[in-house]
Order: sequence, then C-alpha cells, then structure tokens
Amino acid sequence: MIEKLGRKFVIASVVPIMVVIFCLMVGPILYAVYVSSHYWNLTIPSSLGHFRGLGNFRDAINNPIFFTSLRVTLVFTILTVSFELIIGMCIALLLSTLGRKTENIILGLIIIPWAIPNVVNGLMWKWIFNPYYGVFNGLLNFLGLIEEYLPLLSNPLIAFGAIVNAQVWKQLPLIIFILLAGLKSIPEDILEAATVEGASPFREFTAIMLPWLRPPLLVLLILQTMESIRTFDTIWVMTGGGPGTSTYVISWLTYSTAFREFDLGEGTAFSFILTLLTLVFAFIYIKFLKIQID
Amino acid sequence: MKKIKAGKKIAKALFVAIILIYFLGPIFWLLLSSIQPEEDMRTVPLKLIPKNFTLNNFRAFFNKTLRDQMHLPGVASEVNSSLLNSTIIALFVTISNLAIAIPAAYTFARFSSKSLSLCYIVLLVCRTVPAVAIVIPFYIIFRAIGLVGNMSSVILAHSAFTLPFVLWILQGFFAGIPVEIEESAVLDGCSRFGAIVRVVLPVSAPGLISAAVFAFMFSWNEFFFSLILTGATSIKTVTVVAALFSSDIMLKYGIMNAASIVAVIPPVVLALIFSSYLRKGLTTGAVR
Repeated sequence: MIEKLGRKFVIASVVPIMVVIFCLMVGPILYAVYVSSHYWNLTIPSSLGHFRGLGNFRDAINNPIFFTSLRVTLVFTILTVSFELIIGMCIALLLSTLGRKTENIILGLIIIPWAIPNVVNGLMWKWIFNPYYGVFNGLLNFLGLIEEYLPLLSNPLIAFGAIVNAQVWKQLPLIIFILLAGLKSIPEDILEAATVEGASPFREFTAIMLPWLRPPLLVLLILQTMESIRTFDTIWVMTGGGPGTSTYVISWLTYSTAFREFDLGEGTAFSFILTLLTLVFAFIYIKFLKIQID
Repeated sequence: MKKIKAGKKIAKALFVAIILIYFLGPIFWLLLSSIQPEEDMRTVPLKLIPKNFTLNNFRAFFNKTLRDQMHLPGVASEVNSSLLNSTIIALFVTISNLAIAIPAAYTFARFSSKSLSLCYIVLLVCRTVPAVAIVIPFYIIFRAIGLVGNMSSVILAHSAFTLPFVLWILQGFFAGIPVEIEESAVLDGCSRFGAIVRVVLPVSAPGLISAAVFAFMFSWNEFFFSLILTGATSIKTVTVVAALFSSDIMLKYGIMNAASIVAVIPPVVLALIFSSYLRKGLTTGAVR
C-alpha cells in the first residue's frame, strides 16, 4: 500500500505544515534568541541595539522581582496542579458510580468552565470578588460573617487564592473527563474479582484504579503543569500581577518588561527562562509518549 | 441496610449538587448580572434574588450612541466590529488549519519513516511552546512589515498554536480507522486518493468536527496575541474588548458583564452542541 501512494504524496502532504510551522514557530524562536542577545529598548527611538551576549540574561536574573516571580509561579503551579488532580480524581470517582444518563448530562454541563475564554474567567471571578458589590462579599454578609464588605482582591493572600481558584475551576472539567474515561476503561472482571475477594473500596482504589490510571495521571500532571506555568490572561484581567507582587508570575514579568517597560531584550530573556522551564516538562512528556508508543 | 443505601444516595445527590453549583453557579451569576439594571447592581447589601431585568446593558454594548451617553472612557468606542472580527479570524484559522493539517495527519497516521518521525517530534515540541516565547518576535516582525492591526497577523499567530493541536487530534482519529476500509474501497475500483476522500474523510467526520471546533474555540478565546497584535486599532477581538472594558475607571458594571457574556456565548454554545465530540477528542490522546 505504501508504494501505491508514493513519495510524492507523502512529501506533498507534509511539506505545507512543516513550512508553516517553521515560519510561525521555529523562525520566531530563533529570532527571539537573536533579540535576547541584544539591547533593545523601544523607548529609545532606534531599532536593534548593541550586542550584549548574555547580558540580558544576567540582568534578568538580577532583576529584584525575578526570584519572587519564580517563587510565585512555582507555588501557583504546585497548588493548582495538586488541587486539579486530587479534586478531579474525587469527582471522577463519584461520577463513575452514577448511571450513564445522569453522567452524560453532568458531563455535558460541566464542559462550560473549560469552554469559556480565560479572560472571561478572570472577569467573572473579579466581579464575584468585587470589593463594593461582589456576590462573595454579599454572601459573607448574608451569612452574618462580616459587617462591611471587604476589599478582597487587594489582599495579597486572597488575590493569590483567587487566581488559584480561577485556574482550578476552569481546568477541572478536563481532568474529570480524562480520569473518568480512564476509570471506565478498567475491565469489569478485574473489579469483580476484587469485590469477590472481599477487597474494601479503598483497597480497590489503591490496588487497581490508581495503577491503571497512572498513564493519564502522568500525562495530566505534565500537561497541567505546563498550563499553569503559562497562565497569563486570567492574571492580566484579575490582578495585574498584584497586589504588590503576590500574583507576579513569570509570564506576567515577561509581558511587563517587554510591553510596559518596553525592554524587549530583557523581556525576551525572561520569555526564554519560562520556555526553558516549560521545555523541561515538555521533554519529560515526549519521553513518556515515546515509551507509550513503543 | 436500606438506611445505609438511602443515606448513600442522598450523600451522592448532595455532592453532585455541590459540584454543579460550583461549576455552573459563577457563570449563572455572570449571566444574572448582565441582565440587571446598573443601579440594582450597586445596592449594598446585595440583593441575592434580583427583581428587575433589563437588556439595556446589551443594547449599550452594541450601540455607540448609548455608550457615548454613558461617558465610558477609552476602549468603548471600538466594540462594534469586535464580534465580526473574532468570527472572521476564528473562521480563517479553522479552515486554513484543517486544510493544511488533514493531509499531513493522514500521512503521519499511515506511514512511518525516520524523517517523518523527526517531523512529528518537531510538531509535538511546538505544542508545548508557551505563548510568551514567541509573542515578542511576532510583535517585532509584524510591526516591521506593517501587519500590526491587520487580521492576518492574528490569524497567523493563532495558527501557530492551533496547528500542532489540530494535527494531533486528526492524526489520532485517522490512526483509529482500519486500513482495510481503504483497501476494500481500492478493490472496489477507487484510486487510493479517491478512497481517502470518499471513505476515510466521511468516517473520520467526528474527528474533523472535533478538530474544527477546537480550532475555532481556541482562536475565539485567545487573548494575549490578539491584544498585542491589534494594538489600538479597530480589529480588536471580543476577548480583548471585554478585558479592556474591565480595566477602565468609572466602570459601568452592567456593560462590563454584558461584554463578558457576549464573549462567552459562542464558545459555550459550540461546546454544548459538540460536547461529545470535544470530549472524545480530549480523551483520545490521553487515555490509551
């Protein structure tokens, strides 16, 4: 069969996408390397400045906000991914015990958080936590917990909690879909055998379900970590990196340096550090996929 | 025994209710907020059960004269074409990406060779590239060739991210179609190419739909590149407009929420209609 189509078809079908990807991804990344090694500040009316080698990277790392930003990103990622996987697992387990009809209805509905734009996610929660008229304040008041409305998002800790919540809320449906699909793919006989042998539900979970779900769990761990590292839209809309530096993740630092301070050289350096972080996980992901394929 | 069973059922129902409230409640609140009159929203303490409803916020969102009357600063003047902009961009992204990715996905699914594997790995890596990595080069390059403020720059930017994903989904679906189907079509007198068009494509329709909806939704929801590449021009997308509405001072909350709802409706409607296709597409790769 392969001979029938011939090399011409193979080449003709793959070349367009490779060319496009090269121009849209590989090219720009190479150009970014070039930019990151020069001085380029848009407030100074000229184009590319002088060569600085690793100077931008040195400045980037010495930037006082850099390590704070790294820490914020790390804590954010660890919290979001942990919550996503643990809560997602619990919800998937719960849903797996429901009948098919109910399950379909629920799944069809909870796709909504996944579908909305990140921007709207941020706007929605920002409105809910609005210091003057937000419904969260309203509920707290209604329950008698507070007298006056609180400026919630002006509190560093609450603001951070709010973006963690926004991210988890939006990502959970995806986790639930995948884990639920995984749970349903466990062969009936294995589960029956366990019940027959008198295994407790907990034992069933740890001895059968968890091992079976290891592949999707690992995939989700990696993909969601990359997703959390990249978070930008929600933060742009909800907190703008603040209050103070409590939500100043690396992607925000990049944006701020490049488009608010107009320092393209250092901004590109930051973007590379972020990319490097992501690449580490991407590398693990691809290695994992290759193992799966072989 | 019966008591425990009943108790379990009630507990389950309760948890399901909590889950639904958590996931759907906030959106529902957003919707409620968008159809309330401005003054009602500014009452303290909050009336949790609103009495008055109005479509004025949406009218104001779409009507320039009304907006001018409200003395909204800044971005409010560029709203009108945003829906059209988002739609055009998303459609172009979807169609062009599918056109380019379908042949390649078929080839990746059916053949293997060293160079093909290399290409595939390049594409996989591209899937993981974060937006920030290429946003600055994109901005510089497009600014230099004068495409900032032109929809084609946004379309290209979106494609950079949707292409690898669309390819991945399509390839997964194609790989799941047994070769025998094509072979029997060829035996029946089709050319190989004819077999692909007449047999494989129709069978893989769920995959095509899935990929198309993903691409459209991604493009519609995208913010970062749309923000940077549309600058201060009139080709802003709905997401950018909605975001900019919220950053203005002297805010009118009604119109802000209406903007959010407008931005939200297309992707949510698509997701609800094609829910099963999307779920299949999402789980195909992750669960083996």
